[in-house]
Amino acid sequence: MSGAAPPVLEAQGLTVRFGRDAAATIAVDSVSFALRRGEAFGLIGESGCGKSTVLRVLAGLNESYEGSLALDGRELAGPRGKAFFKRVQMVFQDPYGSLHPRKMVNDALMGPVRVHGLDRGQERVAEALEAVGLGPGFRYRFPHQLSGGQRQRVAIARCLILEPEILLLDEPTSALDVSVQAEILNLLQELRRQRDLTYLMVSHDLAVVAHLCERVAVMNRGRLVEELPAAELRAGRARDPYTRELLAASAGYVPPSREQLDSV
Amino acid sequence: MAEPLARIEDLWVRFATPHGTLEAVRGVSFDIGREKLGIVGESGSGKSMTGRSLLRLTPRAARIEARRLEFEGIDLLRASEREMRAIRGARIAMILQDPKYSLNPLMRVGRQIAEAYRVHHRVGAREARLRALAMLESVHIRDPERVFELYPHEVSGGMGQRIMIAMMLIPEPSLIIADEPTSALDVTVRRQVLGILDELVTGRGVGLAFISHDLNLVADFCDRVLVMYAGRILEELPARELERARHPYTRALLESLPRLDRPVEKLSVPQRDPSWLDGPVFREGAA
Repeated sequence: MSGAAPPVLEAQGLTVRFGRDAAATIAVDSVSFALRRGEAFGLIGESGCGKSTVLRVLAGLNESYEGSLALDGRELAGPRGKAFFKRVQMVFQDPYGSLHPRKMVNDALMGPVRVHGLDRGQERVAEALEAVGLGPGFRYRFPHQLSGGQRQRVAIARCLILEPEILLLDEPTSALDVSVQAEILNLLQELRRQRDLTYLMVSHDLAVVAHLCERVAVMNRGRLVEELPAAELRAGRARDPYTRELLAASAGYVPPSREQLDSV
Repeated sequence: MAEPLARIEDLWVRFATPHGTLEAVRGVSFDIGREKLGIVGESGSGKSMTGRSLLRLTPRAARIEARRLEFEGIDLLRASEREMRAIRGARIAMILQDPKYSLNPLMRVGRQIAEAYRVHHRVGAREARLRALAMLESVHIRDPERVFELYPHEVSGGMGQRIMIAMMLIPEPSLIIADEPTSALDVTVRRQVLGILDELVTGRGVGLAFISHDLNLVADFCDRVLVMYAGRILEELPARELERARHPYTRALLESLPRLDRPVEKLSVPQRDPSWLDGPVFREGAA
């Protein structure tokens, strides 16, 4: 990964407001970051910090924003077209909500094939299932016949079927048990290596983000407060007070002092 | 440990289904004293069902059987529904995961806390209000008068869980069952809520059964840990010795967690062994 390569995905001064004028809530406040090809970048923050909104804006699910977003140096504007989704796919948090309950796995995976008018549909489905470690026997199952981990694998297979370059991962393991989380994280790690994927992952779990990503950014109240290599985060070398607080809280339970117990 | 608050021996919870009997809890035995007991396991391990059995709040279809299911000398299996109502809330309280669903959305939070007190104590509205305000203060809410008048949708998740703790503790129970009380909270808020729970439980000498999927959290917060898998307790050990757990399942769970201080290339995924279904229970290091 050379420093000279242009960023594959870039956000500059990204600002998102909900509401109007004085009553507006600034959910994302001039956030800038850049992803190099093949790297995994993590956005960390607590609920309400704006991390998921950033992903939603990138995926075109939220159309009103200020600032600029670029894919391969070309400005992304207006509704995202097929060409965009061929290259960028998103994995959602809750595999119980992101699969259609009355569509069999085969139909769910054929969806993108049909939309994009790809050839060899059935073969692609078989390949995608194999890539996520599910046998052909899963093809004709409904989501309710799958465990949480298997569902998340299907959701990932549905992204992979288009052979994208970038995956947007929105808390992909936070609805799963720890053992299943380990399986999915290993799978994501392996897929990235095999296919040279670029990841933008959003999570509240520092350990999960540091495991998968080389570089992380911490968000608090809509602002990006600090960006640092995952190794620095692991070593506890964070400069921002909020990042430090997050690190301390993630290290385990240490009884807080009496003053720290008071509500705000 | 002095006389335990609750004794559970060979507890079974079964569901009759069209495909045969489903055993959610399979022969679980443990005591709880005035301590913080952590019950950990993955989803479906029977940890919540075990907690709920103590209150007989299992679904209607469940059949509870046990050689002994005792709380402060009362046989919970023989107690009438009327006797159970006098126990629930007043002597055994339960804190659930998400305050959004546990609070009545149409009632001001202060009134809900006062009501919890009046159900079990014969006092007037004025005194109940004062007690509720004092309770809000003891969960470190800085402005109890203001929070008293709020509706549940007006409070944050952390504030909601403070309110739940106040509501559960106001009747002065001797045992609290907390089922994933902090799983819906952010890490920084979680620490405060646990601190409050710790202060109240320790200060008042209440027993706490802390049900959670988070091994590391339980190791730091509790005194003793039970590890459950497929309806059974596989291992019981002092919380600070969790790192030295001996059961392969406990070990595998610990190793499957990504850790900031120990980067690994690949996480280990627990390989489940069918012999765990009826193998030995590891207690305090002895199998």
